[in-house]
Amino acid sequence: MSITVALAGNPNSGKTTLFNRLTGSSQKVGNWPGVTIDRKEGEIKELGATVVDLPGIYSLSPYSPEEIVSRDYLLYDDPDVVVNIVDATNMERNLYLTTQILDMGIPTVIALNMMDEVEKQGSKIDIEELSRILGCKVVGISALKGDGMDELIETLKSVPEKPKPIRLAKASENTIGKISKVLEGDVSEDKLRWFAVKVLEKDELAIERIGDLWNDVTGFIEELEEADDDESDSIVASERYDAIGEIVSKVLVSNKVPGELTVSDKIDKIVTSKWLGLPIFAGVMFVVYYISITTIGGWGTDWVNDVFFAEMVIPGVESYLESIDVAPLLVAFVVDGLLAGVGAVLGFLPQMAVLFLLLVILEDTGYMARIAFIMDRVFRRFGLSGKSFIPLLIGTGCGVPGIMASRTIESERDRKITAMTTTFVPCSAKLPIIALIAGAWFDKSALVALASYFIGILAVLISGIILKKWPSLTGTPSEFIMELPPYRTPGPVAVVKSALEKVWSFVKKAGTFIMLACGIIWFLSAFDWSLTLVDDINDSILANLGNAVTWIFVPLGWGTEWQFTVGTITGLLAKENVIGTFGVLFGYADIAETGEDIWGIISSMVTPVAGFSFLVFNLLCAPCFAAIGAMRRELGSWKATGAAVLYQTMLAYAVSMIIYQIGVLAIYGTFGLWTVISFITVAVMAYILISKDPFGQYRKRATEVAI
Amino acid sequence: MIMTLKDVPLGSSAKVVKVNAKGPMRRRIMDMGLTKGSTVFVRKVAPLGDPLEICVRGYELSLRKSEAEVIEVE
Amino acid sequence: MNLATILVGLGVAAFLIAAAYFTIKDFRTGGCASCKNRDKCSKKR
Repeated sequence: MSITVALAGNPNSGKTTLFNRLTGSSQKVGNWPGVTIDRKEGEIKELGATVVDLPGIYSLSPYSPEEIVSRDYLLYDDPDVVVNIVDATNMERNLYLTTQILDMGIPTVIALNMMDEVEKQGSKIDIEELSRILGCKVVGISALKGDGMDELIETLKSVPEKPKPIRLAKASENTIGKISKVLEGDVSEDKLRWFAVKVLEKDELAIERIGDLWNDVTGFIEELEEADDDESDSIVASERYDAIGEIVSKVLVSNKVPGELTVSDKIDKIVTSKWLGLPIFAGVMFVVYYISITTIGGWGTDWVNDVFFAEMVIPGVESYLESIDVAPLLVAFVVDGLLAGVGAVLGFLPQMAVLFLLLVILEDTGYMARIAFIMDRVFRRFGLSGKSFIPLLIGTGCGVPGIMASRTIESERDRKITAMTTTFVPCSAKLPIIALIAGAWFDKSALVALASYFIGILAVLISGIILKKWPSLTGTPSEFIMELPPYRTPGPVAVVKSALEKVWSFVKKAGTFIMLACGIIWFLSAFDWSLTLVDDINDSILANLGNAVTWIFVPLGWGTEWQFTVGTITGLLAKENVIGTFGVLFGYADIAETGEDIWGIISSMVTPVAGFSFLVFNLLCAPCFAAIGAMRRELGSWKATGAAVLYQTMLAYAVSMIIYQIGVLAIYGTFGLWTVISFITVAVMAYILISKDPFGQYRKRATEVAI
Repeated sequence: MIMTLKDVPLGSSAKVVKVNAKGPMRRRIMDMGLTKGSTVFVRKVAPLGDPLEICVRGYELSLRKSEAEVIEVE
Repeated sequence: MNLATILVGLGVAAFLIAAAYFTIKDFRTGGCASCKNRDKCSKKR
């Protein structure tokens, strides 16, 4: 017989890990109807049972879509068993949900997770006593380690009996009894208590459900409120926790000392302090980039570019192929096309490797979580919450998971805005571009990297303000309640493994996708429309195509060179392509002969200001196709995605233009039509930022109301 | 003078008296364990004074000052 | 077109086809390969 198991628990309780362990590869991901929440279903092979993974929730309130989806499922979809996963290291908080589940009268099994942590802490939990008090089986597990899985599955083999609800105080229970009598007949017997308690809490959905019967019960509720001198929802919440407190004191012997500052706290006192927090953050980031781009990593990159490729690989391959008489065209394809492009990208590997290593260390210590904490206040000034910062943090690695991380934001408006702005923060694919610009014009200064992140975050904040004023994105701002894990020393093995994974990803992408793109670029740059070889690259197909559109970017300072435009466009496929394209087009392969390196050539083509403008444009404009795909998934439609990409590109254009025009004005005193246009653009942006209703939506609404 | 959670100094504790909010925020605050009679320990305050990190019912939590404001304590 | 050219040409072609194969394979997995959050993610591919 196939039974259905509902898996419920707090976020971060290890539910997903448990679900993965139980269902393995049999998982299917679908959608809960009406909301953009994933519905995960899987099979426990050993039991032939279906498991439905409910969204992580702290309670069964009627407010967030996750909670509503969960309660509806438990109330109306009739699962045979509920497995309630409880984080043993946070029992009081987790049991709060448990009390509500037990009220539902569905056979329940409690999976007490993270027992390994409990042991580490030196605390002890009396599982049998807990089981006795709750009236249902409790199984101690560690989903992460895989302990207790067999026991859990064994327990599910026989469908357990219905659990005992956790009783509140006498007066409240009295009232619940009275309400239950009124509701009898209207709701099913199993769910009677649950509804009675929810009605007592003045739960809106429950009230809706019972309709007119509400009038019959308000009297009882008022009586209780008078007697306890408190509101009924507060009474119920309080008493739930009181009951839980009693239970926990009976079963838990804890080693933790509450109300004391731990080592983590002492560190945080400084790191997240009012005056030192942000400067420390900037300092840490500077050091990270200084080590990886300017010094150690930078030396590695220099060696790879100037020695390894320029003196060893490229001439080596070239002369070998020539020596065995391979056709010159093919030699050119391999050397000037593939090797040049991929070589240019891989040249940055030393810097990337060091950077990845440092960032992994930083993340594993737990410092990254503090950053979200610190940034919340700043973000809130701009209308977003610290929760919007986490996707950005993830986005510094890759935009795709960053965009997907915006799902944890409850407010739909904030979520959409976050999804749209996540890619403003430089992802790891954009790092080579930063390194390239820093190397070509700015002596590999770490400040370029710092500036890039700063501009990215600024773009996010400004977008927050602008987009909140856009009509289709109104709504209420998110609340911010978050957990801060304690600091830990990262394990060296895990760190190196993680860093190597990233390095390998980088290399793999270069050797596959980028190599293909470079091959095509080479082809388009070596031939003209009649498919004859060209002597001057400026006669090629690519140059033609490039010149056809490059004029668009002239006001940004780099449109005069079609190669830059082509580079930007190839960046749509993958941001590393900008480097690859430059590698091919600027004759990376000729380094050995001409002695000039790619950085030298590029830096002589346009001014430093233009170079910086180019960097900013590529950082802010439309992200790579993979990221655009992720945006589509979060925003829900191609129309919305198109609008988002358009917004990003327009913002990128405006900002780059302003930087260039005002830059040359300040440095060289150049003044022209575009300088004027830039000032106007700044004024327009300032207007949108400051004005309360720049998009005329309030006027529109007034007209609608009038009609 | 009504004292709220945001007035509690760093490193000290207070007891919740009342939650002065409505709707989802009220629900969220109570669901997190901040109910009448619970003890709250203020662990950290982020730079720029916001948010606060507190310890309630053995659990760490971050709250905005605006959320802490609605929680009356003694 | 001599033997060397043909051999090298075939070698390069094979290399490019392999590259294309891996690229397409990666796209179909939705870029999950580079993702850090794979065991927390709902897609998990």
